[in-house]
Amino acid sequence: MEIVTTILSISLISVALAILIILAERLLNNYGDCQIDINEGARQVTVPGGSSLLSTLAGQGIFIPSACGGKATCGLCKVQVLDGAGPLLPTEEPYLSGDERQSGFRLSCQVKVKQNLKILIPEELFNIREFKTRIARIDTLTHDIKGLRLELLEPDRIRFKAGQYVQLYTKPYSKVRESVFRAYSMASVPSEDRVVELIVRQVPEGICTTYVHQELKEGDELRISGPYGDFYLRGDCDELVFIAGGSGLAPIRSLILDILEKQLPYKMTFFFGAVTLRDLYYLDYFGELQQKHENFRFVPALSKPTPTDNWQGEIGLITEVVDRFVPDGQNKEAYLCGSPGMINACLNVLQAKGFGPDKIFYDKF
Amino acid sequence: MKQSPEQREIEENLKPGAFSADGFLGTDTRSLADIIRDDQALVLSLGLTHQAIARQLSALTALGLPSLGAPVPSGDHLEVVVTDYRGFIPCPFRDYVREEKRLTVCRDRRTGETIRWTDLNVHMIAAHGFYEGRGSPFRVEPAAVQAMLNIQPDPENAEP
Repeated sequence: MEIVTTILSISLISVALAILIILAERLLNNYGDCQIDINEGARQVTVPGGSSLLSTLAGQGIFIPSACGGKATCGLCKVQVLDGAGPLLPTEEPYLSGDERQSGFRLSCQVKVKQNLKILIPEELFNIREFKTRIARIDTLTHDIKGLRLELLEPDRIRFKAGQYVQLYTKPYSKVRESVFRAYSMASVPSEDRVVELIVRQVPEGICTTYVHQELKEGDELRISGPYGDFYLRGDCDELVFIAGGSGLAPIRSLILDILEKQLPYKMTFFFGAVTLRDLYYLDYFGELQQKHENFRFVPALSKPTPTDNWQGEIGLITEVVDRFVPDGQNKEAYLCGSPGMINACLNVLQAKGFGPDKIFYDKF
Repeated sequence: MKQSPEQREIEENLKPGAFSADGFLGTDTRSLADIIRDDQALVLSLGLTHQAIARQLSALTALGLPSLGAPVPSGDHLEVVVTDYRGFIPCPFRDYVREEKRLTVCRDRRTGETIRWTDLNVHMIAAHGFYEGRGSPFRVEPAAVQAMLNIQPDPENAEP
């Protein structure tokens, strides 16, 4: 009898403690409604507290650029918080300069909305929209790259500058229980404003790229937001040098098509690098553009073609090929998109040729 | 055993869908502490340290990186291919480290056998002694690494 009483007593105490912990958690984590003042009264929103500033603003239709989905690894989601942000977190420190910290800049993915906030954001962010789309086509471009053609459903048109990117939102799938989002550059031309084309390379174990490569089917609906980014044509030059590898072809394609369509007078060279022939795509497409347009030259290059590739084009690392073809940076701008390794290697070559830092453009994610 | 909130967060981060599609624990049913402890014992039994393994993996990545995805020979019979992708992945151990999404594959040209690792693997081995759980797509098997790379044991850790 004594044993039973003891067991019952311990059980009751455990249950009481568990209830107490649940109640305490609810009480402590309930921040109630918070007011966010945006751009000194230009807009005010009342939101439930408890989530990140990034996702809270997205819930209000205000989309802050972010490439990593709120994991504090891209540093793109900076906003100026004048009041109510709490102390700077270690996760934010690597992305903020001394001046930015002084001015109150924070990573919006790391700031939790717990009280009223005052923030400043660039006006152009108000133009970013969320789009419901349907996948019209999925193309297998290489062994690890797919092309998506999305029809815009609502809104049914998008305005963007060639070179900009969108954020693609996944749905929970397989073992992935939460929606995530990642940034992908648009490959389509701005004049074709009822569609968005994306080029997505499979990252081993990547949550979003696995979703695109293994889960999505033609006809599926997909959520995106955009446009984002400052990778677009400046054009203060006579000649444009484009360099891409892998899925980095996407924004370069958009830029080239836009320039050709508008008949802008730039001389253009597009260097597209890969290891073997199986890594290249759109060869015929850009080959035909070269035939049609005198001011456009296409230079695909392989660093290690196999004997069966029967490759007749340029051979060498893309940096070596650029080095052979581009004599100097005189009156030129360079636009790069690809892996960090390729970007870094190309920066060295271009800087050695006299391209100033204000003449080289690439997305920093 | 009761976990601290930090430990709970780390275990959540290691699960599928948090930081990677399949997570870091694979089909392993052991606790994180047990996985790390068992690998520590294994590494010591090989006469190695986590640092020595991480250094060797990192050196091979550095060797292959400038070739932008093309194979690079290492020594008489090894070949290294480094592929990097856009973006970064944070360390799940809450240490505020982020690594580039970079994959190194090392192949023994004589046998065709391969081992592979990411920059995040190298960091997690060096900083946390974590080689990922059994069955995880990016589990680094210390014995397989040693068999292919023949890392010289650290004298102070070698068994007599």
